[in-house]
Amino acid sequence: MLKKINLFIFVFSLFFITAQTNINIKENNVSSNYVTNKTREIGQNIRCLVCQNQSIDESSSQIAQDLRILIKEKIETGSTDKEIYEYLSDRYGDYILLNPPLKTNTILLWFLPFIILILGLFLVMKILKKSRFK
Amino acid sequence: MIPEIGHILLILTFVTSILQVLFWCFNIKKSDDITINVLVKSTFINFVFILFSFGILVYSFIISDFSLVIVSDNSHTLKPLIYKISGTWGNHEGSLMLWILILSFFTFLVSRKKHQISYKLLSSIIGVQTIILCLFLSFILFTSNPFERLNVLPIDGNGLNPLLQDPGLALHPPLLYFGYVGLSVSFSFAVGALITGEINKEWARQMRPWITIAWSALTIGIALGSWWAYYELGWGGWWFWDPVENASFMPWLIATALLHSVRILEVRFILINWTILLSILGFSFSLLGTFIVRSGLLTSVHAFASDPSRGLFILIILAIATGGPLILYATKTSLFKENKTQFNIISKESALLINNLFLTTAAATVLIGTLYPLFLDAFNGNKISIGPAYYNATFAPIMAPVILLMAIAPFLTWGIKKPNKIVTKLIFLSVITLLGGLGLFMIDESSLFSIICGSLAIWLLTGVIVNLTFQIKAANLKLNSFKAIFLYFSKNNLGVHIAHMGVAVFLVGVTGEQFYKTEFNIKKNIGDIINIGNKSLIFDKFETLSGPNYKSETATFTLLKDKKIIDVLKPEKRFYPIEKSQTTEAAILSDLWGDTYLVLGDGNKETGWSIRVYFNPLISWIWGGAGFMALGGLASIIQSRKSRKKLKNAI
Amino acid sequence: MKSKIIIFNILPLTLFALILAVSALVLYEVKKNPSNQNLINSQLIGKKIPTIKIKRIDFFQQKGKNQTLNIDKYKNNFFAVNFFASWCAPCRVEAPLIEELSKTIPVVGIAYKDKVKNTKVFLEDYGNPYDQIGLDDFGKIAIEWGVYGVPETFIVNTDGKIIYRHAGPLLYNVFKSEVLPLIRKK
Repeated sequence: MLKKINLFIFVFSLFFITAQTNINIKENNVSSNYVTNKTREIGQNIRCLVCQNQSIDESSSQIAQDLRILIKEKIETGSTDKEIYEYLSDRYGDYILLNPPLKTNTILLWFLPFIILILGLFLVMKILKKSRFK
Repeated sequence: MIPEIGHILLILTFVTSILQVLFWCFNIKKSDDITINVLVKSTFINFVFILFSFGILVYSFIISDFSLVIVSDNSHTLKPLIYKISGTWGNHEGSLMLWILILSFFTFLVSRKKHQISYKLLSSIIGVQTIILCLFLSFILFTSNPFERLNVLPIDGNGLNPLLQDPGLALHPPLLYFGYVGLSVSFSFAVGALITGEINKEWARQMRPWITIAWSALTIGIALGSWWAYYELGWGGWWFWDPVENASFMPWLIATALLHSVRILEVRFILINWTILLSILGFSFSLLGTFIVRSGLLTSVHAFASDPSRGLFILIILAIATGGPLILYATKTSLFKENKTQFNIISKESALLINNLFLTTAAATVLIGTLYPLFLDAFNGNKISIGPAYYNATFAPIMAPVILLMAIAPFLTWGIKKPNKIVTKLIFLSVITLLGGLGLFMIDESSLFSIICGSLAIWLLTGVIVNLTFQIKAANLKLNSFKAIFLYFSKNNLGVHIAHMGVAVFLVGVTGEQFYKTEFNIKKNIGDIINIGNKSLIFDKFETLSGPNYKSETATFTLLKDKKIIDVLKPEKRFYPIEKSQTTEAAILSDLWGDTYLVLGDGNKETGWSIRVYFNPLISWIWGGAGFMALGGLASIIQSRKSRKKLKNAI
Repeated sequence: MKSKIIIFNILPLTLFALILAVSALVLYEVKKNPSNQNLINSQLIGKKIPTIKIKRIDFFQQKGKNQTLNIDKYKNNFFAVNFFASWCAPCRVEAPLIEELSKTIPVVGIAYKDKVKNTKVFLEDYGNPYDQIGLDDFGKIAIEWGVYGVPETFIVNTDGKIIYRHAGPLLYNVFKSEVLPLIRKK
C-alpha cells in the first residue's frame, strides 16, 4: 500500500514540478532560430582571450563580440562546427578552445581519469577476491 | 603602537609554538600528566595570542588606520562598517590571519577532549596541529606580515573591490576555512595514529565529528561562493570549474569519501589504510588549494596578489606537510591490523569501498583538469584551455555511478548477511525512474543529458524515501501525527537520509537550471512591455541614485503573470568612484520553482537599453540541496553526541 | 599479494613527489619569465602572412580613389606590421619606438576598429611612422592575424613569412634585444 502511495506521489510530483516551472515557454518577441542557437553553442566553447575564465558567449568585451559576429557569418555561409573551431585555433592556438581537442599532447588529459578508475577497480577487486569475498 | 603589539603577539606565538613542538618531540610517546598538561595549556596560550592579534587587525580596519599597508590597500573611510570588518579577510594577509585564528581555535577545542582521548594520542594530535601552525606562522611572518606600516600616511585608502562588498562573500572565507581546518584535525588524528600506533575503534569514533563538521562547513562555504557568483556576476552562471573553485571542491570530494570511510571503520574496523590516506589527502588538497590561489601560477576571478616567491614558500610547506605523512604512511603498514571478516560482493562494505574509489578518482579528475594546462605549458610551451566541456565528459560520468550507488547502499547489509527484499526495492526504483525519465522525455527542451541527470535525481530521491519508509515500518511505528514524526526525527539518526536527500534536491536543481533555462536579449525603452509566454515585464522607469560609496543607474520593471502583478524588479549598474570600477546588480525574483533574473545593459533615453532576461527553473534547489546536505551533517553530529551521552549515563 | 599492498602505500607518495617536482619546475619557469606568463604565443610564426588586402588610408585622398594596401613592394625585404588605434592608450606609449623601428625597416600600420578622422588626429599628435596605413574597421583582418588586442607588432621576413610577434606596447629592451637582432640578420 505504502509503495502504491509512493508511486503516485512521485509521478504526480514530477508533472506538477514541470507544470509549475513553465518550461514550455513560447517566446513571442524574440526569434530563436538555428543560427542564433548554433552561434551560442559554439560561442560557449570559445574562450574570451581578455577575460578571466569566460567564454565569448558570456563576455561583453570587444573581441568577444567580434568573434561572435565572425562565427555567426561562418555558420550562415555553411561552415561546419569543426571548420569554425579549426579556423579559430589556426589563428589563436588551442588556447582559445574551451573544449580541449584530442591531440597527442592531450591524450593523457582525456584518458587519465578513466585509466585511474579502471586500474583502481581492477586492483581493488583482485585484492578483495582473494581474502574477503564470499 | 597597537599594530606593533599585534605583530609582537604573532612573533610570541611563533616562539611558543616552536617550543611546544620541540617539547612534544622530546616526549613523543609519553602519556603522563605533565606532558599533556603542558601541551594543552600552551594550546590555549597560542589561541589567546592569535585571537588578540587578529582582534587588533580588525580594530585597525574599523578605525581605518591607513598607516598599515593592508588597510590602505584594501579599505576606505566611506566603506560601510560591516565591510570594513569583513574586509579584514578579503585580502591575502588578512585571510591567512583568519586561517591561523581558526586553526588555533580548533586545536584548542581538540585539547579540551583530554578526558576522552588517550594522552599519548592527544599529545601527538596537538603536536602535529602545532607544526602546521608553525609553518603558517612562518609564512605570515616572513612573507605576508599584515602589520606592515607605510612610510607616508595616505589621506584615504584604495577601497575594497566592490565585488567583495557583499554579505555572502563576507561569510564565504570563514566557512571554507572552518572546513579546511576541520580537515587538519582529522589529518592530525591520522598522523598521530601513525606515530603512536593507536589505531582502534575509539580513535575512529573521536575523529568522526571533526570530519563531519569540516564537511558541513565546506558544503555551505562552497554553496555560498557559488550562490554569490550567481547573483553578483550578472550572467546567471554558478559554477565555472575555475581553478580556485576546484581548489575548494577537491577537499570536499575527499572529505565526503573520508566521512563514509571513517564510519565504516568505526562500525566494522576495516579500510584503515583508506581512512588514513584520505585524512592525509583531505588536508593536503586544502593546502594545495592555498598554493594555487596565492602563488601566481593561475589567473582566475579570485587570485590574490600573486607572487612566485611566496609560491616557493608554500611549495616547501606542502612538501613537508604532505610528504612527511605520506612517507610515514608508506612505512608503517604493519600498524594496520584490520578486522579480517568476510563480506559479500554485494554488501555495504563493497558499496562504501567502491564509493571511496569513485570519489577519489573524481577528485583526481578535477586535479588533472586544474593542473594540466600549467604542466603542459611548462613542458612544451603549448597553452590549452579546459572549460566545462572537459568536466562534463569526465567528472560527470564518474559521479553518475556514485549517485546510483547512493540510493541502493542504505538497502545493503554488512558482512555476509543477505539484504532484505533488495530485488523488490530495485525493481520499484527502476520503475519510478523510468516513468520519470519518460515524463522528462516528453518535454520539448529535453536532451539525452537532461534526461539522464533528471532520472538520476529521481532514482536517488526515490531511494531515500523507500529506505526511510522501510526503516519506519521495521520499527513498527505509527507516524500519524506531527508530534509522532517530530519525536521519531529527534530520536533517530536521520543525518544520512537528510544528506542524501540533499544531494537529490541538488541534482533536481541542476537538471532544471542547466537544461531547461531560457535567456532573452532585447533592447527596450521606458514604457515598453516585454511579453514572454504568460509573463510580462513593464519597463516603468530609469533613475540615477546614490549609495553610501557608489552611484547607481536603476531601472524599474513590474513583473506580471497572467496579467496579475507579481513583483517589482530593479536591476542596476553601480559605479564605485574610489575603486574606479563598475558592477552590475541583477534583479532576481526567486521562488520555489525558479528564478526570474534581470540584467541591465548599456543604453540611453533615445535608443533604449539592452536588457537580458533569464528564466532559471528550480535553481534554488541547488542551494537548498547544499543546505540539506549540511543539515544532515549537523543532525548526525547531534545524534551521535546524544547516543554517546546515553551510553555514558547507562554505564 | 603483499607487494600489491606495498604498491598502494608507496603510490600516493610517488605521485605526490611527481606533482611537487613539476610544480617546482613550473614555478621556476614563472620566475624566469614573469612577463610572458599570460600572453598566448602567435600561431603564425613561420607561416606566410595572412590576407592584408584592405582599404588603404590616404590622407591626401582624391575622391573616388579606393586604394588597397600594396604588400608586393616589400618583396625580398623585411617589413613590420603594427596594429594600432587612436583610442588605444598603450599605442601612444610605443609610438616613439615604432618611429625608431620605421628607420630600419618599413612599417605598415593597421588602424584597428577605428575611424579615418580619429586616426588622422592620432598620427598628427604622435607622429606618422608608417609607410602605408590600412583600415581594419571591423577587426576582421586582426582576427586573421590572431590579434586579440592593440597594439600588436609583427616582423615579416624576405620570404613573406612572419618571424616575430609582440603583443602589447613595444618596449625598449624588447626592441633592442629581440627585434633588432632579427632585422639585422638581413
